[in-house]
Amino acid sequence: MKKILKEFLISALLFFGTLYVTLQVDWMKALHLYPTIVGDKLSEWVWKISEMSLRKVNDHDVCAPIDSLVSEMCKANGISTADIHVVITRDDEVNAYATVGNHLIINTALIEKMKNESQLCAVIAHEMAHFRLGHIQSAVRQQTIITVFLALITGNGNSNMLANLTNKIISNSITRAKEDEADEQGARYLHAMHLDPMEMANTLETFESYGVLSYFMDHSDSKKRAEHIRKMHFKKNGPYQQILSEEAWVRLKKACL
Amino acid sequence: MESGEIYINESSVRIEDVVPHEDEKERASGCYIMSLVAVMIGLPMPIINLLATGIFYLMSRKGTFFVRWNSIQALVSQVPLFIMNNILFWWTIRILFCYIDLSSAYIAYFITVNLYNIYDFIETVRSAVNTRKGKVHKWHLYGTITDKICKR
Ligand SMILES: [Zn+2]
Repeated sequence: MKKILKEFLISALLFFGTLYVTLQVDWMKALHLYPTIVGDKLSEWVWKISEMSLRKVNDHDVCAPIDSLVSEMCKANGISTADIHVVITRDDEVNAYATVGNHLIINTALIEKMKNESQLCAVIAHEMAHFRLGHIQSAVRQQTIITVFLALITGNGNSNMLANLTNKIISNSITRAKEDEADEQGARYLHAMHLDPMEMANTLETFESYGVLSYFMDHSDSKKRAEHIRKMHFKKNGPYQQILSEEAWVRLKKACL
Repeated sequence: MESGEIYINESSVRIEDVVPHEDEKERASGCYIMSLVAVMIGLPMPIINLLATGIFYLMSRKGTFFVRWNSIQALVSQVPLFIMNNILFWWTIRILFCYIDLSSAYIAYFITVNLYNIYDFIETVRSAVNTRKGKVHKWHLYGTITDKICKR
């Protein structure tokens, strides 16, 4: 028995000794690896495929004002504009959503329906909050591989199917609590850029029927979410500003028709 | 563990003193070859490895001392390997499925376990060759444990 114990100790010492020595090396640095390498690479791939099914809008009248709204929001909230990629697509569905690879998709139909820039910013702020709170990343990273497997099994990697599936996966992972969180954070973003944070609540109510800002199939919770925002308190932050000129806003709406 | 009550002489026979028959050599050697084959087939699925060795052990349980001793050593040596490879396997799966991040700790563990696998592989080959020649190759620790559990 003593011999076993002795030999066991030697073996354990050898094993943990090797482990200890190998642990001293920063392998990630030595091999130039990044922690999320697998998930990110896959996300990129999924985005490349799903991108093909989108009808991107490159019209200057549309892109320029949206860009200035987004960069204004980023600047006011200390977010790097490189961290978020806004894509405007020509689509009749009134919708905007966050998807893989920090891409924020805004459909032209949504822009066309918006009453003012604050409401548009509310939508962008809500989706941006999903990114910043890590809602999208965790969902995507955990489930992209399942999407990829499905794409491989069904063959050809149909871009439309993949895009739909990705959005379904993301929406399944976004809970009511996360929506509230994103609403709150989004309202704060609006406040920081000198816009009325209560526009978040207004937008939720106004576009309830379209299901904007809601990943759920039933949108009956929009009223409750709006109330939640109205209960929030904000410090006075000077007068609310107008970011886009009246002319630019009209042109934007026209271009989206 | 004083187990040899009546046949004190026979139970005190050491494995090194056994002179095996030709068919015994073949069967004992088969145990190691079995675990080698299992390593190659079941590399990503460590359970296969242990299962194969376990089955071979059950088959040779009724065999002679020489065969039994070697099949037990083959089995015992698979147990820690099984645990280590299992951890590595699930760790890898979790990383692949993006539940956790790739980390230096993972790579360190990967290297250590692989070194151990290589050691185990070499020892298994040596055992297979030696038993085929009728000699016993006693492993560090596992040979001692086998001596304890496998009495004549
Ligand atoms: Zn949302």
